[in-house]
Amino acid sequence: MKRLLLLVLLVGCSKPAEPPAATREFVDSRGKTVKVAWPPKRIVSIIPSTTELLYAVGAGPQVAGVTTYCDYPPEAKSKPKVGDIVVDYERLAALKPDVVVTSFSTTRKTSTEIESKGYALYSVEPHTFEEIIGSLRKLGALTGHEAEGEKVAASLEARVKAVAAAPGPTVYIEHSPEPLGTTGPDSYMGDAVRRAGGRNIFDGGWRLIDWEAVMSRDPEVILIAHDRKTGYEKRAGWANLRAVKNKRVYFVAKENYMYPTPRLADGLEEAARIFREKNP
Amino acid sequence: MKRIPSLVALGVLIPAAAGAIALSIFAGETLTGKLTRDIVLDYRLPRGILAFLVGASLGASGVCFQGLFRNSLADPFVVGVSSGAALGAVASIVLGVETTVFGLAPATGCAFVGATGAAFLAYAVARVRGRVPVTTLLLAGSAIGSFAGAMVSILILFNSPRWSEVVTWLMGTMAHPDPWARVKVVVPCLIASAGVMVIHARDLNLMLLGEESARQLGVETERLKIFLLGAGALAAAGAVATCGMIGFVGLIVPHVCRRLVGPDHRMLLPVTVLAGGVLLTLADVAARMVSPQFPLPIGAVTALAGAPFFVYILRQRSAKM
Repeated sequence: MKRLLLLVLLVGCSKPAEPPAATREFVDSRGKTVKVAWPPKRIVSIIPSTTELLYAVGAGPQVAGVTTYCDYPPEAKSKPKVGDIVVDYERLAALKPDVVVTSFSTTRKTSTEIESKGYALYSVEPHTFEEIIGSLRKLGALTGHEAEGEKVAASLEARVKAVAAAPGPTVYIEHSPEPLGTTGPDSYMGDAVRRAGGRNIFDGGWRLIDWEAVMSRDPEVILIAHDRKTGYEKRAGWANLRAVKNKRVYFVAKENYMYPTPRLADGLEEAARIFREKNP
Repeated sequence: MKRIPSLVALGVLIPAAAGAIALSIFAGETLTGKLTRDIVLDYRLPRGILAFLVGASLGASGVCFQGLFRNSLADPFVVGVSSGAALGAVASIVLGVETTVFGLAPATGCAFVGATGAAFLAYAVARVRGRVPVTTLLLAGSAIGSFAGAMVSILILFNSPRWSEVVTWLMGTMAHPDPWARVKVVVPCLIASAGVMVIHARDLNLMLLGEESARQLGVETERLKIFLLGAGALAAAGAVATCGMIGFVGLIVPHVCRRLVGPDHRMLLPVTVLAGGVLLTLADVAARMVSPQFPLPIGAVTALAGAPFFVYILRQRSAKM
């Protein structure tokens, strides 16, 4: 009886009993070689953008766990949750993931912990359209959906190429009202603005900004990509800004700009339309 | 440290205040951008004025609480008012409140409610049989402050997507696109609260003798506590609601001023108000000169510059003793 109990305990403690079909090696965005039981049957994604990318390549059915912030596509909302920004390691263990997918630098601490617990951790980190397209191909290969990954990657590539706008108006894009947050061209949001023909008034990537810097650059177009819709008239010098005088302040859906996923192409196409408009 | 006559202090501080605000017109990004009338009159000037008013409010709140509690460690933070304001603002951010409160932006209005709420709660908790012992009031305030602080931490933990908004708010900032609108919030708070404090300056002096003595000398101490607690909370609420948590000014400025001009609140009050304003305005000017594009958290700047200065003053005093 005791021996049986011991046996039960030992079996209970061991890692997944069924042997993996095969182990394949993949190189992720960190340049790290990750060994994954392939094709992975249970994938956990710990940030919304990788969840969306996994669904985009057709790996949705293999997604075993997501975070409470993963709300796109809507099907993802019904998946088991492993946490919010903090991963609950008991829930993660219960899901027995073959691979955990994330962007390493935005989840550095959690990712390192997950890796130290022996899970395979695969990172994609797209900062440009090229990298989004590349990430779709990589995730297609990782999840056993190479053909579908290639298909969505090629269609995204075609959409991006179709826009190819010449440099047009100067642009200020605001993704956060308090503190004022913007981005230069060196982020995926900035890449979308640049490809759509916007000449960004700031350089660099994501950054907080002093309003005076916007006033002195007096952009021709202002894109507001967050939820605050009122109170702008209280801003210093608002009425005298070129963009305001020419009625070229646009409130755009933040979802089309805030994620490095195929949805960003919606933002790209919308921005290109906006930048082509003539001053009334 | 040698006492200096109050009138001399005022004579230095009034021009200093004007100078600091004037200086703030010249701070900012001038090289790469073009300077327009709007930038000077609609942004830099009101920003200087806002910094002055917020510093003055924090100074007023600190000197009022330190006098009322006869405790030089009392400041808007210790009394729980700042944490109450923080809880209000952070809750509004996290819960996504989008409606305006008293015509103020959501976070501002809720900070206001939080600050005055914390003060009222501390008073209600400390009240026993119609009496509110100051020590109990101070302890109740700090307990409520800790509680509100813990709630803030929990709220942040459950709502990380907007963490940058919350963190900026908790570190305090002077970089707002709408400085005039914020000046309009701070001015009535400062005028009302400073007015109440000035009217009760003599009573505050008598409170220094102890509550019993003050009462025997004809001070209505219970009424005084309500007025001064309300005034201190109102001043802090205006400051915290518009510019976030700016530490140090409310604690150190009254302290240093008391050493400079002595404990008579009739002089100490205006001196502290002016000194707090000058200090914060200069801190903001310095912050903008160091980093014209990227807004530095002003609370960190005041603490970085002020803490060593305070240590110096403490050392100087201990050396004499």
